[in-house]
Amino acid sequence: MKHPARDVRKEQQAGMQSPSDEELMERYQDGDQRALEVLFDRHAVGVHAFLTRMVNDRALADDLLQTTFLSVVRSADRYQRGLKLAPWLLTIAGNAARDTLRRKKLHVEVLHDDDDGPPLEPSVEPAMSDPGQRRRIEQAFATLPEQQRECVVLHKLEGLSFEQIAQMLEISPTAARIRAHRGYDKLRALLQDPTEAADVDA
Amino acid sequence: MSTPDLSLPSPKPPAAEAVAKARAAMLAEAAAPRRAGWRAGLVKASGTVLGLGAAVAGVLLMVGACTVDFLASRAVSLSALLTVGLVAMWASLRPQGLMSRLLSLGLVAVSAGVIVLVRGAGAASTQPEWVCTVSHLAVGLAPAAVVITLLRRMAPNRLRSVVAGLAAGTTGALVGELACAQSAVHVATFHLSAWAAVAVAVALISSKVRPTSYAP
Repeated sequence: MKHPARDVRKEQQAGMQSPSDEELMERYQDGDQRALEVLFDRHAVGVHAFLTRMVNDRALADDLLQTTFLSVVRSADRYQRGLKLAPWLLTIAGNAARDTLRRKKLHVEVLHDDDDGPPLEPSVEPAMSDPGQRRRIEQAFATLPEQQRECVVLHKLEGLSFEQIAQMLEISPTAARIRAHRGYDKLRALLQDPTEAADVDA
Repeated sequence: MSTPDLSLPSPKPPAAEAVAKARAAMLAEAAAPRRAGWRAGLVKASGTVLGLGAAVAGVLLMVGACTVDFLASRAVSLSALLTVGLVAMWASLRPQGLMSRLLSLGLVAVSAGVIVLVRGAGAASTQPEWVCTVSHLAVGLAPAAVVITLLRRMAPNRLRSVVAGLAAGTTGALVGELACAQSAVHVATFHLSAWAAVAVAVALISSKVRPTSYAP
């Protein structure tokens, strides 16, 4: 079976510049299904990581990964040419995560030592030298309100600007900044104050 | 701004089976015939509002319940409602467009003011006043159903739903301008309440319906 990612690599080897995400999405809008496959191969892991951080549940993140890319297919015409694709994908993933959490009324649970297969595990990146510190960050992160967690993930971990976050969430840049600041303040307090950290553990 | 050190390792990558399943589902969906885009939906929804308004006007003219002169006297309010209905429909269905939806809310407020202010003292009616409210809700059902269906194709958003509901509700307000000669107080009470009720109903129902896409 022909693999579209290999086609892109062949293009690169032939001295052609690898098509950007935006070019690929435009190709898909014009009916090129292989472009969609390349986009999936490029972004599936990143979108899954974002979803895992949003919902703190790997099984749910698996389902939402599928929901996200089904939405891309069903709403390809809603992608506006010229927009950066990655924030658009994260917007879809974030919308799906928020709506699913709202419907299931799930509460993000604080991770515990006795969890089987904790959702956040080190993988491609080197493990943090202090596993205790990593666990504290994960626990603190999981206690953030959904809106604050989303803004912190998008700003700190996905590297988006507040303007981009505001556009994604349909809020003002000031509101995005405030949500993220509140999240950072809460994280700082939880990570610096052992009492609060202990409360989180409890 | 100093942010806390969040050097979290990346979450574990998804299982190969989960990725394969998502990929297969995506490709199966992509292989299916593409459904009509949001512009086609906009045409359908706007056509429903305009078509119903035109049908009511035609019936009223045919049965002699109103005249061309009467319609001409309502030109300002009818134009305002048609404009706001189409703009609000576009704003509610288009991708992104927060500002256009906020602008639509402003236009709805202005047009609501216009239809009340141009009405004046009005004429007495033999019908109970609530008949207007009920009939406006009834004619708003079809456009409301159309916009709820279309809203399923995009990410849930309360402001979007309210604006779509207001767009659907302009059908009832149009009928009010075509068929009702009562006072400004009657319009403010019995017409605008029906308009608002359609908007609230669309927002409530669409928040309960699971979307088929989460695209903005």
